[in-house]
Amino acid sequence: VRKFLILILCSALYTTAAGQSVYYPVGMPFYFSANAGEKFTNALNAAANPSLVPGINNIQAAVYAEKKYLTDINLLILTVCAPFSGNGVSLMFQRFGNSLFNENVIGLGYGKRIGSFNAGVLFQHIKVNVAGEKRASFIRAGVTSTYEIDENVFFGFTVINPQLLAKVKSAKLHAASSFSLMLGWEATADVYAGFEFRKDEAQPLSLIFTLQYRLKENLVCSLNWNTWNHQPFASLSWVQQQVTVEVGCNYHNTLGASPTVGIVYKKPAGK
Amino acid sequence: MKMVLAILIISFSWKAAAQQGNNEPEHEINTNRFEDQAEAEESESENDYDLQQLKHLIKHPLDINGSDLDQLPLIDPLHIHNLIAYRRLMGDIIDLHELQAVPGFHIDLIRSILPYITVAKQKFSIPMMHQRITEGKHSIIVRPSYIPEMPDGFRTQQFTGSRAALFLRYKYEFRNLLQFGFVADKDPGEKFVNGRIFPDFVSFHLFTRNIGAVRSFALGDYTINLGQGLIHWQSQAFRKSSSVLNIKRQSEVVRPYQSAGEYNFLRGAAATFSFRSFESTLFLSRKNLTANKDSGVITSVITSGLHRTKGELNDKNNSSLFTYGGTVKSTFKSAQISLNGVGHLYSLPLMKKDEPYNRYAISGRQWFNIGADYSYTFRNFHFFGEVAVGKSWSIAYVNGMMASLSPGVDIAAIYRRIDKQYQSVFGNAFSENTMPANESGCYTGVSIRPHIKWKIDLYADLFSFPWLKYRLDAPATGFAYLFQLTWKPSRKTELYSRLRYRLKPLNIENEEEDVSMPGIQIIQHWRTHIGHQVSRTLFIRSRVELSSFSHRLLGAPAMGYLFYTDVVYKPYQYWLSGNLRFQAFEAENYDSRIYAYENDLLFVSSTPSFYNNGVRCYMNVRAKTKVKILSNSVLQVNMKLATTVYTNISHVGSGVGAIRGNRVSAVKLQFFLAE
Repeated sequence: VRKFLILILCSALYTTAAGQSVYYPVGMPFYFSANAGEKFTNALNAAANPSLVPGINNIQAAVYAEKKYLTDINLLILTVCAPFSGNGVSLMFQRFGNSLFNENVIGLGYGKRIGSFNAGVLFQHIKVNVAGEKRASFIRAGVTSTYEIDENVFFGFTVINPQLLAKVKSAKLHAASSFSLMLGWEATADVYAGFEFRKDEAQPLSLIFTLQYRLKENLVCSLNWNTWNHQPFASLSWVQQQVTVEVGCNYHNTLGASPTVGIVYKKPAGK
Repeated sequence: MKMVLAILIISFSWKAAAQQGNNEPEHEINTNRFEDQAEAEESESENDYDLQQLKHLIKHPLDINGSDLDQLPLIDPLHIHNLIAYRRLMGDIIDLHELQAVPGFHIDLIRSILPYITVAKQKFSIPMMHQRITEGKHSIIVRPSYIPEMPDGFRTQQFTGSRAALFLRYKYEFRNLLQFGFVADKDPGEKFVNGRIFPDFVSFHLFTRNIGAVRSFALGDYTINLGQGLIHWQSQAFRKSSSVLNIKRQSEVVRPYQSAGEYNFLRGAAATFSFRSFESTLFLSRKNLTANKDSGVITSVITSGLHRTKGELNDKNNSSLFTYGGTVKSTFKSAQISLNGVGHLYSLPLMKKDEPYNRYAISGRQWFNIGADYSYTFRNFHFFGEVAVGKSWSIAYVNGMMASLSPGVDIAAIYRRIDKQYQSVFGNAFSENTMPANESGCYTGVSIRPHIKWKIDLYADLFSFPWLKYRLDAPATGFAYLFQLTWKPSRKTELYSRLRYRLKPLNIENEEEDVSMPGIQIIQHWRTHIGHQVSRTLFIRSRVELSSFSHRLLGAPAMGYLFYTDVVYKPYQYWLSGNLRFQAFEAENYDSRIYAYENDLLFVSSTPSFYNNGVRCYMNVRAKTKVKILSNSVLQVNMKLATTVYTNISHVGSGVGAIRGNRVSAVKLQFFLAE
């Protein structure tokens, strides 16, 4: 863990000096981040952090849709996660934008459990279409990890596109590098609190906070705040047998609300 | 020999007095709240009701099995509800240690309230009126203070009074059932007696509780607190602070007023009647105002209470405000709902300066607000809120929630939406603006205790102003974050570090080009604070705080730092105690200023701001002795000596209060005599 921490620290220092002309893919840190633990992980955050894939019980598939600020800008995500014995793979497709601007992401992840340490690798192909402009595409790759420090305390980190070896020309459009540290605490079987400190290329350090609370056996609410885009996100999930339906809302101070809906299907254990 | 004997006798006398207890209320409160409040309002509150209440509770601890739990300012409604639910289920609390079993009562909270609570049954019979009048306790405070350096107002002889300030308070109290007293106050530069027999500011109050159906009755000066402060709130109330869960306004509707502030109270009569689950309060007030007038209209009301120069004296009491209102509250098992209304009638029409940001300001002679507030507790969730309308029929509402999700996780959230046309005369809601107007926002605070030694507090607040406001020439948005990590490695040591980040819209003024335009300020504060109990009598605390202020027109951020170390000598049950502070600070300008709470005289909360470069030292000494003036009375003498030396300026302050030279000092004395 100490070696990894040193690696992250060096990477973060390097990143602060990196070029300014970069490409920032659409992210949902409020949704994907800072979740860990068996009860609070699903196919959506496991697809963004493949080290979580071995932690889920069985095959899961999820769909997430968001109508950004009630305009014609939409976000759609489809994921499938398949854990095996001690490892697992994830597949993700994401589309964001409208007819004038849109980006499509196809991601593949692999995670493996090594004792109480989970490691994951992530590959994403990003394609950007801007009306009247030439299409652009990039590869994004990185490593992710989750470490169960204690029975209910989790630590993790993510390193995406570390530009340690390849020097990036400042004028060239490229996928942004991103580093994050995550700390999660399962306070009880019903409460989970997580923090993620995230540094994106040429962006200030941001803090993402997530809180999940099981109101009833089949009803979970969550609240996320982040200093990344300053948009609180709240959701309510209803669990019915293998299906979890989640409705939520992002809130922007000026642009207003962005309603979201997510559906997660969990294949029953043992089948 | 006689001298030695005399000293010994005096020493024993002081020592005996110390048996009265040595808890100082201001050590139990979260002083960070005062710093955050002073920064938000750019002024210090003179309302010391909460400090007086804590001092009262040291002598008369609250029965934890009683029904007046809301009189303890340190616990919030959710804790009260949890405690009542626990008592309903398990019976009365038998021992204070049992509080640890009550949901939400963690060890820090219990420690903080221990001096003020008891489990002893207080089976008082309802006292007769003559008992209330004859068996109570008297107390007197005399507080002179003096600034040795002469402000320009005295040099130029603009100030009509003397340089000393004087505060005088007499109070009679019979438990919490009857109190009356008066306050007299004179600020530096004011005449103690202004032409008549009365000092510059005089306040009288009579307050009694539980006389038949009359739950409380106030005559003279009092404060009124309704709902969540959208239409009327005059007691001390906090906004965003490191007490991240403290978001709900909570108080009795009527409180006696006995402080030195000269504006934020009502003068007249108020009564609360109780009938079964209903409670109704009616109040009437007429008080004089000090205002700026122009062509027969009030252009602004002056709230500083300063009447030092001829101009200020001419404006004194040149208009008046008649206030009336009432509330009806119905209480259910887990809920309550109130209907509230307040009306105001000025003696002259109010017409604020003709500026775009004043377009929706209060105008005319009359104003009123009506509304309703509620609270409801469901399981471990406590919901509360208020909706109100003003004379313009514009709507304002506040809805909040507090919950204890687990023994280690608490959350509080509040959403407010206040129309740009909405105004209130004495509003004080949980908002970014000082007054509840022209704002919408969403606040969330979370407190996490993952381990007995660790605590994380954080809040996030997102707000917007749909219309212009003072020093902001465009609608705008902003946000504020706080992250605080507290570590208590032992009972003797506490360390916390906190980061506060605010993005605040405000006009950026370029004085050279005489240009003012809407802009964004980024204000960051990073503080690390450590406190350590060295021995039973000695406590030290030290703080380092860095500040940074930046905006677009400023090339580099304006930086500031503040460092201080306190040494507190507080022997248990001893007649003498005191504390000493050494402080150094450096801040490039007012915007990068740093606030620091200071120990002061009893019942005084002091939170000055520091900018420019300099050092500050102060010393507080407290001594107690028994005296024979009143039966078993204790005389407590407090003294504060403070001085600030600036290294980069040759005069301090501005206007008539400016002091030539680079030093400002203060000498304060207080004599507190109480039975």
